[in-house]
Amino acid sequence: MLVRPKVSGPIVVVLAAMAASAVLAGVVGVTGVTTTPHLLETTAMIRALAAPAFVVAGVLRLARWRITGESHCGLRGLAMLLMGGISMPSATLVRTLSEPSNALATVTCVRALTVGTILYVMAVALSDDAPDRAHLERKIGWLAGTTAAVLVLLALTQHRRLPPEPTLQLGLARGVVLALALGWFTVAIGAVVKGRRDDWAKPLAPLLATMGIAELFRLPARPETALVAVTLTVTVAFLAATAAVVDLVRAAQEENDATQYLSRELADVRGEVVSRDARRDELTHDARSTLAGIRAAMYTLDRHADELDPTTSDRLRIATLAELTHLEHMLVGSSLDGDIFDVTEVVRTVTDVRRAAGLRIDVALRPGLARGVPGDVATALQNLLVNAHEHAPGARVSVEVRTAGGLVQVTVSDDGPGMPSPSAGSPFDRGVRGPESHGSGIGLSIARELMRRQGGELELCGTATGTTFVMSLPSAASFDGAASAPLGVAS
Amino acid sequence: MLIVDDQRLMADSLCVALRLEGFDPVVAAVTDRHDLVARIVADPPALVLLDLDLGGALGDGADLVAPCVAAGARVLVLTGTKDQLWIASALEQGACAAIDKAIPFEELLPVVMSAARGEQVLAPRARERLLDQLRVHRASRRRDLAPFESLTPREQQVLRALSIGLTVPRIAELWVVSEATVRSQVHAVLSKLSVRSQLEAVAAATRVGWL
Repeated sequence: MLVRPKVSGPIVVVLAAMAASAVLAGVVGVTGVTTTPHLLETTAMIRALAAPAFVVAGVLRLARWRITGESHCGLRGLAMLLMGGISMPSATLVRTLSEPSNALATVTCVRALTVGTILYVMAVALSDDAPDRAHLERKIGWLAGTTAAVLVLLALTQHRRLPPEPTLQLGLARGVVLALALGWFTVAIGAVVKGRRDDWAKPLAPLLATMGIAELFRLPARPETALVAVTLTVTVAFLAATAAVVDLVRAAQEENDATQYLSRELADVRGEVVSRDARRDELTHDARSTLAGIRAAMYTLDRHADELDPTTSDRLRIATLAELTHLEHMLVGSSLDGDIFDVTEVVRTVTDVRRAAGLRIDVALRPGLARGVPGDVATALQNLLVNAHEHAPGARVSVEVRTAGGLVQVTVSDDGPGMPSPSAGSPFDRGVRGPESHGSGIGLSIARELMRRQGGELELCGTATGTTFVMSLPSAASFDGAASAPLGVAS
Repeated sequence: MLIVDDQRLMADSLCVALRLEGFDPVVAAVTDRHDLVARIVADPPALVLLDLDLGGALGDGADLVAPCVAAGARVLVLTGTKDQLWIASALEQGACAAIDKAIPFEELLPVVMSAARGEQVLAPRARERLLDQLRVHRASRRRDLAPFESLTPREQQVLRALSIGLTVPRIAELWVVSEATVRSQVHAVLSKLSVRSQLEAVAAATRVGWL
């Protein structure tokens, strides 16, 4: 409870042994085994041990406060420094220096003043989560006022040498001791309450309560009980010092961990920035190159329109189109998933344009929502229509959109001569073209690649009567299921 | 004349345009670095139009400059990059000039043609300026990296380990050495880099790109 066992196993053992021996010493004192002067000597000796222990604990608490900035740490450090550095030494000093006749009253006054201050500081530490400055200043003002009042009281007692009667002195001493004990218990209860919300306050309660018990042992004003009181106090001092060591070590460790964590984060963030910069540079560079290529092709096509043979100009034109699509991809950053869009819209736009260019096209459109890249579908369809126009001039082309088996299909068929079996390979291979074709053969391969890139397909179906191409895309509905069936299998 | 550009449209357009202007350019296949160099060595063209960013198969075009020049070809760098240091390093390897692809094609074409005719297309002063930039950059980079070069291999390892968030005890455990050893190495790193904390050391290393 006092110190967490994972860090402090051996320390707890040592402490337990120490506390046991201290209590034993106290018991020995009470049972009167030794004589009174001897007892007083022992008491003084043990008391001399407590002060440095409190000072050490206070300094360590303050050190932790410097690392973590927790205000309660600073206040506890302050309280323990007051205890070890001011309260106990001044009480001892006054006890030695005062005339024996009113020593008890003087010591009582000093203790009332200093221990009262300590209790007050502890109360502040326990009462505030994060005391704001003005609030704290007001409290410290009150503290200063009370202290001044007690000092005046002390001065008066010293001056008038009051109360000279031993019974009156004893009465005063008992009153103060009771008040202080009450103070300790109150603060201990405060620690219990606070401990419900904040872990740091939990170990404080038993220590504070022990201080209260020690105070009560001063009540009889006998050497034996005084020894017990001092023993208890010194035990608390050592426990506080140990807890402060453990906490400080833990704070340093956490600080170290935080540093390591920050180092790693720093490296990660830096890496992320570098790779993002690299991606951006690459994109910029790619876009510039693509634009340069398009510019070069347009210039060449425009400048040398008359001198170019149809194959070459066709090739440049189709390649330009492909580069434009590529550029769009780069800028939009379209993923392979694509967007959900209405295929019929795209088909309508493209067929309208081709119709205006003189192609005879019939369309049969049924709404078909698909997932893909509209621009790519448009380019692919355009390539198919250009292809139809080239290999079957004047033929009637029909375009149909339908949804079947999780696929949206666009069928492009013409009533032309059909696609004669090419000299070698598939009509989708680059450079393969029909014997009559003026095209470069790139259009179909680009169209297929565009479709495949967005998870679709382009197939040539049946060459008996005319040519039929089927473009297919996964339908939007097919993505609603947990997993979309692979293309081709679903249909 | 050989055109080495992974951007096919650019290469094709240049090829077509130059052919119409009366040159006889060939577009090189940019699939294999070794084949390309072998081809250039076997039959050195008068001029190589070289792109710097050649993509996956060929990588850095600047590295191709030296073999081309050694084979006796002049190299004209034709690039979309804005990276002046990259261009400068190509010039340093012996490229005769560099042109930005992004300029209008009607301006680009005459430069390529005059280079093909063996004329000088880059003023010596401009060339010197670019090379100076490269030298200045290299010097400053050397200066930045000097403290890191002075680290012993073990200290470099320590710094790398710190940068991935390992603690001193953990490093000691991993390397089976004592914590004190690692701590003294960390101190050596800090003093050589003139920094006060581990975090600062890692920050310095990432800043100059040493990591």
